[in-house]
Amino acid sequence: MDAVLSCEGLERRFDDLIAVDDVSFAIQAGETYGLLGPNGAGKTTTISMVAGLLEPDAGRAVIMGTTVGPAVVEAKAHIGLVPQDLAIYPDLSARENLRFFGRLQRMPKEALSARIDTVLETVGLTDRADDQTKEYSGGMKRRLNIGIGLLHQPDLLILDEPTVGVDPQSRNAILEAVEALSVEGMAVLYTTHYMEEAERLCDRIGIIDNGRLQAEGTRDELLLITGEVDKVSLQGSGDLRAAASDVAALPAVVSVGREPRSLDLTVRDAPSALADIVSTASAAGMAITDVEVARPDLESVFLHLTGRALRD
Amino acid sequence: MMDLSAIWTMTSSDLRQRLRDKSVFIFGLAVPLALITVFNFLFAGIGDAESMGPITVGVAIPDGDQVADGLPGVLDGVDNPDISVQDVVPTDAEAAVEDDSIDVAVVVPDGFGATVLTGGQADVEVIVPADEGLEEQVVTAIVLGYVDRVTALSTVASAASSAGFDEAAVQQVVATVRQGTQSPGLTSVVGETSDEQLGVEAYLVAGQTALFMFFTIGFGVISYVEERENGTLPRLQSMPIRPGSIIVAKTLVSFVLGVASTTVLLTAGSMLFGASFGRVGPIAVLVVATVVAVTSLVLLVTKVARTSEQAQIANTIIGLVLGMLGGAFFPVTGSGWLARLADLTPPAAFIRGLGITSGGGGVTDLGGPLLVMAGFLLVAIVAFVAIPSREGQ
Repeated sequence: MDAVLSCEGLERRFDDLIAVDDVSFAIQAGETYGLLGPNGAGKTTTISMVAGLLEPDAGRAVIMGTTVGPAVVEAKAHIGLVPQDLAIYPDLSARENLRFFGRLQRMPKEALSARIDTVLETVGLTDRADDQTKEYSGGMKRRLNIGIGLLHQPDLLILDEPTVGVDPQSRNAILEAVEALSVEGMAVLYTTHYMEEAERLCDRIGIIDNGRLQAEGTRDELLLITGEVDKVSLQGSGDLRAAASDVAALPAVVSVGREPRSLDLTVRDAPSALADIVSTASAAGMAITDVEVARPDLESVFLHLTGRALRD
Repeated sequence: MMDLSAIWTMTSSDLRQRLRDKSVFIFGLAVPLALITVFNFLFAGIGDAESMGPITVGVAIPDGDQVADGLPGVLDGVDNPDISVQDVVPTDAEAAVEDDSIDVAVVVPDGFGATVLTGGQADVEVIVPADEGLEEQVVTAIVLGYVDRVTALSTVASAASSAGFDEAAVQQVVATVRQGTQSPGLTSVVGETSDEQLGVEAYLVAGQTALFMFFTIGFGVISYVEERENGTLPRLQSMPIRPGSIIVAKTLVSFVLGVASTTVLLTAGSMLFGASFGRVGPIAVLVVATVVAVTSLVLLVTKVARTSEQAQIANTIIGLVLGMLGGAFFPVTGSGWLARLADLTPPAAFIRGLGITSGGGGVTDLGGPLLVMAGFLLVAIVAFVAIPSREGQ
């Protein structure tokens, strides 16, 4: 199956600064691809080239078989861009904003009216559709910002840090909406510096820093890069020696460390093995009072790849 | 190739927003109309200052002085100002002027005629009030002119006598010279402005319209910079439309706002202040040309400015400087290279063009102002192309 988006060796310089350096990745239909990196990593410059706002100095982005560029109208018709800034007009209502951008997307008049109603429903703004957006809350504006990107049902939806500055409730609504998009078969390019969002939404993740794509893959593939495994700590009393011996025999358990009132285990795929571990330790005579599971995350991956924390 | 549908969509949406936020009404119509009203109040009557009122002149002529006898007749023959001549006793002349029983006193000294006829210097005393006006100055000029004339004639007579002419021959020479040096009678034409001059009210309307054109037009193209700041520009640029369509739409918004506000201001000025600018056709051509020239300049500002605030400040400064240079507040009366430069500004050309149309001029008479606008447009286009874009920086 041909990729909806294919980026090949994208490069962009601003004077002496190399903002994006040899970035390549592809996104299939129905796939959500996350670009995860700190501020200034090159995420926005990358999507600016993908969206046809910037001409790459080298490399190319191909959408549905057409190479993207600022003057390539055909390629842009496949894109829905949700910029990081609120790209809406405050003196227009939500419905007027949607109609304006829908017309620029060349949507037929009747189809546009019906689609506007659908999008308003999707982003939860039907009741306030005819109010000027300057009267909206920040979360409502964010939702409309996304709704405009969805309006013409693009093959590729590009979301540039859509939850920045959003309250938790609106943030969750946005994440749920994005989750639903891949179900509809839309390819989504999602940039964020929030690790949790990337883990929750993205089928595959590209970790970007200093303009270079450091690694990409599924979450589990990326976690393997660190060489780390899950850690399980069993707190309790009783026969900890017997419990340690029996638990060590389980296939998922890599190692066992015994303390006076706890067992510290390293485990492959802790969520799957946890029930066996707990029942085995109990059967061996350990009275378990608490269980803690620590899994490596994308933060660990970023730290491993770049030597610094994602939030630095 | 332009995307007309997209351009129309963006233009109509922009116009709707500009009208909705009311600022275009305030800065495009309300403020200039208010200023015209204030200026009209402040400068009321300035245009009438050149018309002169009647004046009474007291003349003291020595008995039997045939040379001085002609002076009252000369004064009496002037139409503008309307001069009434009456006799005055020389010793009472100054007091008569002071107590306003007469406006000016002219005292011809004893022996004036004899002195002049012998080629001597005779002084005529003109007594004017402390608050001397234009009418008094005109009377003084007439008296001086009369004295110069009779002095010149006496010089001729004296020269003829010295050359050995007999008295009859001398009189003939004097008559001949008098005929040849006959100065034209003092006449005046009242009230008609020249072809390139506007009355005070019309000038104020034209000047303020030219000045505020910069601000109104700014609402269109400067919004391009605002879109860049607000984040809507990237979204517009990601739409399947030709890259140049966005700036074309903004320019069109400026053009529509500029033409509309100028038309309304000129019309309102005509109705409220009695200003008259001539026929609609030539005015329309002048308005369109001016709006295009000013739009090109504001467009240039948007290309240079980093922020909308910078663009607005720069536009305001340019508008005020060009407006003042062009005489938007007061007519420019200076001379030299700066005055010639001022003539080349759109406001000056616009005001001059309205003067031409108000005098009955047609499109073909507007060559000068239209040439200025075309030159301005050309320079702005060349600069616009030459200056690198800030996009992507």
